[in-house]
Amino acid sequence: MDWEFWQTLQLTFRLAGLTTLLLFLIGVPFAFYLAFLKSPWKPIFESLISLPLVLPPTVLGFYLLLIFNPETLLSQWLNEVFGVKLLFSFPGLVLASIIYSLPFMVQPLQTGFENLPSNLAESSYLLGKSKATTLIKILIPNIKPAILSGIVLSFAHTVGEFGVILMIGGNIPGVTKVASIAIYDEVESLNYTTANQYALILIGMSFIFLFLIYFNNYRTNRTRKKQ
Amino acid sequence: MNHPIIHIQVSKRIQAATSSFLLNLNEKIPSRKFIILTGPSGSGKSTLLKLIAGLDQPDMGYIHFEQNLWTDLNNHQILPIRKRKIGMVFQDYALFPNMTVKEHLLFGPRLKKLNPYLEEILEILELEDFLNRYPANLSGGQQQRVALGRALSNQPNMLLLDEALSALDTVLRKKISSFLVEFQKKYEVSIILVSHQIDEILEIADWVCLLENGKLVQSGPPHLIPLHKINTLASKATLLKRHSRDDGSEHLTILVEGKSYHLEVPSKDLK
Repeated sequence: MDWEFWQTLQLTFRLAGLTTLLLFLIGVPFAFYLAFLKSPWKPIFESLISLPLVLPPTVLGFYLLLIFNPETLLSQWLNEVFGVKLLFSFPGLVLASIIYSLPFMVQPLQTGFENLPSNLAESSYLLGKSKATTLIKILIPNIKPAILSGIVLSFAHTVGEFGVILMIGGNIPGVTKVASIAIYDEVESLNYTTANQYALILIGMSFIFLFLIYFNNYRTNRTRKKQ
Repeated sequence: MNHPIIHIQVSKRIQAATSSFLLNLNEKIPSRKFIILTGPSGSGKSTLLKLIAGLDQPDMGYIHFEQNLWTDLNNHQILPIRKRKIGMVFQDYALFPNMTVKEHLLFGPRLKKLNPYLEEILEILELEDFLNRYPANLSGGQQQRVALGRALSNQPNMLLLDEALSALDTVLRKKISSFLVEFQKKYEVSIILVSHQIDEILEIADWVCLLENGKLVQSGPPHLIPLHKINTLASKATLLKRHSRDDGSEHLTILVEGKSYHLEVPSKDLK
């Protein structure tokens, strides 16, 4: 295992970690808004957020490729103001991963909020608390299993990303080359040993993450039954 | 000076499990009094409490609390829930599973530790021994007392109690209802308690509202409730004594569930 191997793994986990953190910060208000939204527009918002679940990653990758193109107004503005390039860059990968994994964070959180009794939030409002305080002090602490599911699923899904990353990030070692791309690359070079090492690490990690979710569900169900 | 009032003029269609009915009220009830709201299940009592609290909105109408406009659907004005200074106990308590008993009482007033007011509430509600327990580790009666303590913690202007004493044993129920009567007088808070208990209706209420199928069929002091309405609320009342007065009104002494109560029948109601 050479230096590039560890660099690729480190980049994979950095991308997944940063994406998950940002997704959590974005996903909580999104999920809170959707959970309590009483509007005929709700199914439209839900469908838009869930699109990455059903779309082939290449479709998403194709449109992101068009949007991230250096000649678009968004790319030019980001480059001029922040010096950020989105195409074939790490910030571009993070942004694409956030869009791609958004439903994996929002859906468990939304379900968590929706499953709470509505008068829990109402009790907090009656005590003079704002929506923000109610969200932070009452609702979030009571949907911990949903939060864990959201975090684990988003992290694991980002680690497993392939199509979107290949289209907008390419395969630049240390910049955009993540484990899933590296496996493809190594297989193409008939370097099965390294491909196997990447694959085994991803399998082990995915198992640990899934185990965390199911163990968490098991423990929550057991506590509920005891009550 | 006129006594401050709560003016409720609302209309709302309530969707029940198999049918729907119209909650239609236009009533002025005295504020800063102990009001008992009673009536059969599914008559709209909980919905009315939610409308007053601002947790639900009427299809049309308005709610004035003394000089303040709380809800006015005609002019699209709704005072946010958190500005109404209401304490409420829900039928299912709605306790915060992540908070201990002590934290429930500190949360509203944003305190770090208990003050004499909260300590008094804890003592009266007999919760001092459970300060560090979570709701999951409390009995139904204890949970109901925590919900009441939380509702009182903010020193509200109005207390809405949806069957808030129902899970308590008789002794504790008497003690806490006496405390609520004292509390109401001391802080001049408006209390609306949903109750089916005839002793509470006739003993502790200053004003009784009887709701049937979304209509207020009786609103007044408890001693003016007609005998036939009392019979709909409790096991049949027995007339012990009838005394006619010079002004044409009557004074009745009745026996309900082993206890005697006094009723007045104004002359205009006598045939």
